[in-house]
Amino acid sequence: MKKTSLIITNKKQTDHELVQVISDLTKNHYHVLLSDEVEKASAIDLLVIFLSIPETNDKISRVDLDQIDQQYQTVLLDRIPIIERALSLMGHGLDKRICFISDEEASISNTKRKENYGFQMISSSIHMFAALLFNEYRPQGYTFRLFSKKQGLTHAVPYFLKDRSYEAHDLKHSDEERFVIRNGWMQEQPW
Amino acid sequence: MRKTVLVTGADRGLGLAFCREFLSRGFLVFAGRYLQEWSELEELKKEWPETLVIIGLDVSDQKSVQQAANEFQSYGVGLDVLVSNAGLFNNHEGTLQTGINTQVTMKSFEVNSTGPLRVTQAFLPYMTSGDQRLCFVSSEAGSISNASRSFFSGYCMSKSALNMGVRLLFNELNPLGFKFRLYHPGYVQSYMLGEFNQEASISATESAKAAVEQFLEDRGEQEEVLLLEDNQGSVWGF
Repeated sequence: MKKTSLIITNKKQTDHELVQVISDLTKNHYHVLLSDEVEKASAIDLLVIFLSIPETNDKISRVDLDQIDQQYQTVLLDRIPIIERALSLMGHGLDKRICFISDEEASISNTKRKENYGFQMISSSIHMFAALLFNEYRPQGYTFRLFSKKQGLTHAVPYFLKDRSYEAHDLKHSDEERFVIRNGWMQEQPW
Repeated sequence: MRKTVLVTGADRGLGLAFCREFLSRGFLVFAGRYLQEWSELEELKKEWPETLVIIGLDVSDQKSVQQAANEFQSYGVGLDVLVSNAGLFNNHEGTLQTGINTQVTMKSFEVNSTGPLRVTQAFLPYMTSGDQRLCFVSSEAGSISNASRSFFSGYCMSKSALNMGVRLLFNELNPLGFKFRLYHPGYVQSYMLGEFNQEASISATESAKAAVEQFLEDRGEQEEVLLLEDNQGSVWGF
């Protein structure tokens, strides 16, 4: 019997290719649902959260901060009830894995950007949201992945599906108890 | 000529302590007032009638911020130091297991994340010369690398967003000569939890004094690095 994965995404703005990639790569083992189909699921094994944030090139003198507030509401907060619903269904799932797709450009330590306030700030907020979720759910056996899409999505799903070793000698994959962001080359990025 | 500072969220707690500290150092202080019913700023004004100016300021409201900037302009001075202190904490935010209060989370973002940028945007035209110091009160709660909580979600998320916003400002304005401080004030005896919290580990006066020392010190080439520092001068990861 196939497991169930659920992709939570603001579809209208999101690259449909992503949904296709995830669907293709998980179809042999997973029945893929989109967030508006959450009511069809009785259990969820794999949850993928990818929230697309509009990008702009406005520097501080021109940025529309009220618009960023609105984006925070529509991109993230409006999806909280769906995420809460999905989490309740994951209690019945087997894998209990929660995955985020983000972008390492949203590294506060590393970014060189001088603009794109909405994307950058909301992404950082989502990173913290994911870290808080990790703190709350990891003790209950849930596992987490946060993938940077900067180098593309090809390696996202294999990373989501791989069970990482708990062996100390396998350093690259010994961080299941930590919350990290990795890119397409599996490099850990700073927050 | 006196140096000038604007302090947001100056009504009480840390903001009021910032005003006292800058006044004692001879600054002309513009105090952003949000709580009309709170009288401590007026009492402070009696002590410093010539050098304390109280202006209405709701950092989450674009119109209020612009009105405050217009009022500042009428004094015909430049701004040397901006202290973005105004912050909101609500301990009824909930968690994903108990249910997140999205209204509270939204308000935290408007005040703690975009609020400081709104004020910076409006007051930057008055900072083209002078000390050019942009100081932001953030929190260790916004440090993703140190995140240990599963609660206070809206507050933590808002402070992470603020840290990113300050990073973008830094990338643009530091090469132009602006100096940045990102400050974690510690667990301060203040009204952040609603009632005055005497159990906290540091007084607002002590935290403000430590902060202003950091805000005003000259760091030479180290100004080219953005750090999140606490009242001991210890650095927190982002």
